[in-house]
Amino acid sequence: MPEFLREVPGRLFLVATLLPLFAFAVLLAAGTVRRFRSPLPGYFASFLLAVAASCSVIGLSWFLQDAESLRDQSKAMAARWGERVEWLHLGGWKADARPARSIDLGYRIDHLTALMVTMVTVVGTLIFLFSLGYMKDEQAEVEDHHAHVRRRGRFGRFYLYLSLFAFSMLNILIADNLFQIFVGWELVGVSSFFLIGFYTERRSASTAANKAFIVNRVGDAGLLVALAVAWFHVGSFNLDELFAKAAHLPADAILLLGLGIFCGCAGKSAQVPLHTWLPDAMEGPTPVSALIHAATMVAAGVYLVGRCWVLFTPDVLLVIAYLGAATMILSALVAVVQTDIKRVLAYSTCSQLGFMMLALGLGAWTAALLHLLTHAFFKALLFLGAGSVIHGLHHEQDLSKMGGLRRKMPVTAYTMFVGVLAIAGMPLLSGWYSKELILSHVIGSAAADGVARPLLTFLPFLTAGLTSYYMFRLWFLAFAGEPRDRHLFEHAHESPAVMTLPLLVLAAFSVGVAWGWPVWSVESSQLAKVLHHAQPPVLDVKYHAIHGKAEEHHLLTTALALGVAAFGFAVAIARHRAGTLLTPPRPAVLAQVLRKKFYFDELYAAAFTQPTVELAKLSAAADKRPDVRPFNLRSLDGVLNAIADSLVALGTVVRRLQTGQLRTYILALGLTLAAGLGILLRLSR
Amino acid sequence: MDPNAREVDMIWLTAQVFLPLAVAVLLLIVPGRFRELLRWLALFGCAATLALSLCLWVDYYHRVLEYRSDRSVSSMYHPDSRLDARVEHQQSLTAKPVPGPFLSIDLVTIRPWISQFDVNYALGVDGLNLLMVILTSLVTMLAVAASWKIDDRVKGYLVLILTLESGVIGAFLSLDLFLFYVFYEVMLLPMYFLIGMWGGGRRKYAALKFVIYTLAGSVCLLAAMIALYTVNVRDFVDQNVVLRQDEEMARRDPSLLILEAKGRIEVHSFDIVTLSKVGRAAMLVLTNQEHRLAVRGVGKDEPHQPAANGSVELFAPGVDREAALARLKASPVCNRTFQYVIFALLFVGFAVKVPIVPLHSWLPDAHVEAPTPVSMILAGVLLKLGGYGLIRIAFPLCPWAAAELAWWIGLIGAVGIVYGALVAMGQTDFKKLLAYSSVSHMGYVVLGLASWSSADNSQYWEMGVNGAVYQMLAHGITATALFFVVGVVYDRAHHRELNQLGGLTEPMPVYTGLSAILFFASMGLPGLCGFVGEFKVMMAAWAFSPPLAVTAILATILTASYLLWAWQRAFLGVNEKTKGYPDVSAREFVILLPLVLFAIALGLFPSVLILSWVEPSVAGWVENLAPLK
Repeated sequence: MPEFLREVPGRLFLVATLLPLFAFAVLLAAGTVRRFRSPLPGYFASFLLAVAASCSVIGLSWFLQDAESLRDQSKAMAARWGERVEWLHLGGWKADARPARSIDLGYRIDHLTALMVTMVTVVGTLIFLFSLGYMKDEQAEVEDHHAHVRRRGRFGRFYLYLSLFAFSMLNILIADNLFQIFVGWELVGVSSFFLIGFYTERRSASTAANKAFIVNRVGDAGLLVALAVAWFHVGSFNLDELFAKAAHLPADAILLLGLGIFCGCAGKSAQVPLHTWLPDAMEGPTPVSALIHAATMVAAGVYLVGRCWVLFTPDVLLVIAYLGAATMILSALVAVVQTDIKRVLAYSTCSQLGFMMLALGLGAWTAALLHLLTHAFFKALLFLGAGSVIHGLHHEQDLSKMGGLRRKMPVTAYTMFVGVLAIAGMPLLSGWYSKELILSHVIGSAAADGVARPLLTFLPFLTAGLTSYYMFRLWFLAFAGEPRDRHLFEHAHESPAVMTLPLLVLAAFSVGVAWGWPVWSVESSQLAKVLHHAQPPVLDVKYHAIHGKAEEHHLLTTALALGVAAFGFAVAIARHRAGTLLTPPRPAVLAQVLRKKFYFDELYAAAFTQPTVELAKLSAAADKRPDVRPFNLRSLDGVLNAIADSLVALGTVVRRLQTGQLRTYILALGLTLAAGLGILLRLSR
Repeated sequence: MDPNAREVDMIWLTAQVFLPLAVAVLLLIVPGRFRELLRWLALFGCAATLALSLCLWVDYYHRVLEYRSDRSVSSMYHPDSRLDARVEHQQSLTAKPVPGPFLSIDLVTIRPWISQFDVNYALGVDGLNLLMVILTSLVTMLAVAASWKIDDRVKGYLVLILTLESGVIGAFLSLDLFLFYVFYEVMLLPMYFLIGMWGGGRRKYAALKFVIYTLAGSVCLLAAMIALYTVNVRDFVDQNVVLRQDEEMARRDPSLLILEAKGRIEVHSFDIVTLSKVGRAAMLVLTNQEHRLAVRGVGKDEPHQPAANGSVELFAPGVDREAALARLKASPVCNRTFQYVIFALLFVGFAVKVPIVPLHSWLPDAHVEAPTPVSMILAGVLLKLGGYGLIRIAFPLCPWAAAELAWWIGLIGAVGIVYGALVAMGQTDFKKLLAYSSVSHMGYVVLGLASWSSADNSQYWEMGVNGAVYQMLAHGITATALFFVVGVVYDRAHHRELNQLGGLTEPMPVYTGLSAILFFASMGLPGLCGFVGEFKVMMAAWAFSPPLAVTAILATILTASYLLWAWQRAFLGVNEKTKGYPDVSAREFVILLPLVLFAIALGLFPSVLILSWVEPSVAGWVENLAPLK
């Protein structure tokens, strides 16, 4: 091992973070010099990310060893696995005042970070590899059928954005302070903006990109408020310091801090009411959807809620739980009627994220983050599978035109089936462990407080059933039965190895990533055990009773979870047999509401977007009207001009007096003189 | 040998101010038909000015800051390297019976100019104005490079731009109100002609509007200046000055007793440092803290350490405290109305330049009509004079009124941010949109300055002022660059209608890439220059008033919206008309690239590159004012 790693092995993760940044910088510089037509940028960026992935795998195993051997020496651990540097010096002529003298950048590795970084780099590498095949067309001139133009390929640019994205995400994960997290937060937003709007010619794509960025900015504004509160009341952005001092903050400050952070997380993780951007974000290339919706961007919100868990008061946790539950059920319902293969997955992601948020709100910390990790693998698998389907069908995404594809693309079909099983909660697959843990916590907390919040108990199970239904529906529609579009089917083909290989690897992860011994025991999941080390200690104490209850009702949970999942599967297969998977649900109103996604877009357009644009136009008009008529008092500029105009008018009036005729002047002089004399006489009398 | 001859920094500073003017005179000699020669000469002159300002920076960094700084502390702040400490030292040297010997390394020069009216030729450098001078010379150089395509009356055009540069640099460097005013006016005329003669369709209207607004602002400044000149500052200047006047009076009128004469002496000054001391003293009197007023000790090594008992040493050494206090309290400067009026005059005077809503109306017109390079200078440099004036003159000279009105000023800033953003969103003209975005961005400067919380929280205020300064710099870079971006597309499309542009990504990839960085820098994306200032201002504003901070924070959503919407309309989509546009030429690339690189570098290393040497000056500034509240 090189010298600089031996003392501070945490730098492995730093290197893993900076490698994509390096790739970004190189590609950026290369972009101005010449335009790449070769696959070189892709190989370069993928290679660097693969190196980053190996760094983080080594780092993870090293960290686990270290954590074992230095169990009781937290100082030594902190020194070996964290560093910081001053980024912004703030001077200060007073030494004693509250805020820190500088804003620092730094990293700190714990079990959660190590696992997350490893997951992101590994999944990221697979997605980068997959994109080499998926985006191959971009190496030459491309015919964009949506926008009807021929354009240059953008292969290099795609990897440029992907690299920036990977860096930003890793930056969020390793950061030891809220400020750096905010920086990563914004950078993730901007790279997703570019990736979603990758097909710049398509209006829908650029609009979706704008929407994603602006909605995320709303969340970021909340995060900024949290930062301001932290800076004012604690005087530091450092997470450890914040955690240590959180208890001493005034009640409204801690409340605001928690709400602000959650607002940021809701934006990134697409929670109600900031969830509307996510389905639209499907305008981007499919590997992007995999990256954004599976491994990284949306995971960031859940990660941050987990990371900052101790900063949330019970009230905020309840808000988180309820909003999570709302997101979960609403998105699951919408997913049921979608016919676009990517949109089904997008809503499914929303729903699963809501599930995690709900779990975090209820205090199932380990379970929620375990679900985050397992979900990343199987959702990446599903998205890449969808990408493979789309690639094989020459950019057709409509499920109603597919069918029977398993004969044409078996690898895609069966790896995706693994993904479907995993997300549905099939026992022994990774999704089962995490889902089971969360659901048992739900049951546990319901039992502990006597079902005080029935919605939070009931909805997760309903969602589990729905999830199972719509995922099987997706698979049946795409791969089973008879092809609904002959022409499309004839031309379909299996994807090349560079695309199927990532699918296979992800399928393997989706099966076994959460295994432990014995395999059939949820409690023995190795991944969960590792995660448990990172859980804030206060949780164990606080939710001790719930854990007991959860153990007690363990079998009930399993039975219920399997029951609803099986029911979902049964409905799906029954409707598949009957050929009614595509028929909308019965009451037409319900179908309409679902198809309109509960009218969130319309509501926001009417409540925020339109009024803002109108207000903007109004203020623009009030500031200045294009026509310059005199005495137009309906605009600021007009009022100011009116002042000038009246001065000019006054000048004109006064000028008329200056006739230039001597007679008039003499007359005026004489009259004035007479009047003056008269006044004088009168006064002197 | 005349000791004055040795003051090398006077030559440096004078050269810095007048070099562009000298080049302008040189251009006048060259016949107008040698266009290419004229352009190269002007460019060379600007480059020389930039080089000179960088030399000045090296001088300042090494011989003023580093030389005195304490190496055990990470900040380079030291009481002796503060501008007012250096000015005081220089003043005491000037006041000696035999002036001098003047230091060549203090980067301050004070010489009598119009002695009847106590006007001095006073120039001085600190982090604040040096930053602005470097920005000015950089932006002017790039603007001259951007003027290559102007073929109409090239000579006059270049001469005017160089004259303008002299005026701006002079205004930034001058430490004397009168001198400042002169330079401030010197800028006005070239700008008038540049807009009025080389502008677009409604250039006359725009130029006249610009002049009237600016003149109205200057009239306010002039009035405030004269009012401040009437103040008796005898207890705040070096007592040698008083002594000399005393002797002179006695000589003129032998019947007067020396003591009697001494009571009658009045000393007046345009000196900013002296007047700011009066302002601070007035603030202490007005807030019933006159017990804190103290006489400065003679020959103390560290004159500016805030004393433990909270005393503020403002009276000059050798002054009788009680008599001085009595004189101060009797003088009109300790009148609330006087303070309010003066501050209002100064504030309005500079607000026109910033511009602050609702005095911003000239800006969109001037920008829309001005040719691209002039727009660059206008946005990059001239607006900064407003913010700089607030920092250097309005706040220190009337601290009491500033503190009293701080919340309202902050409100004006916040309103400006939101209003500018909203109006920008409603524009369809690319250049107008940018003009209003300037209004919005400069609102952060005002808000940062205004976030004057209590003395306990003065660290936050310092952060806000630092943020305001940084925001001015960042805006100088991004606005300059974005106006050039518009100019590039205008050269091809001959219009600026956002709705008729679009589809530029395909024909102009390099241009799009560079513009993207600038757009996001303007939006305040972390890692680019716009973020640092805005972030600091927001954090500082929270400590001052959470509602104002929340307004500023929410405005970031609006900023993102209007910029992204403009981005979508200007660059994305498909457009048959823009298909054949050539990508940026080598010249355009060379102009844009440094700005883009600055936008990135300033975002990544704010402390290393800028704040390490600017922040000591800000610290000194805040240290003067913060303890008064």
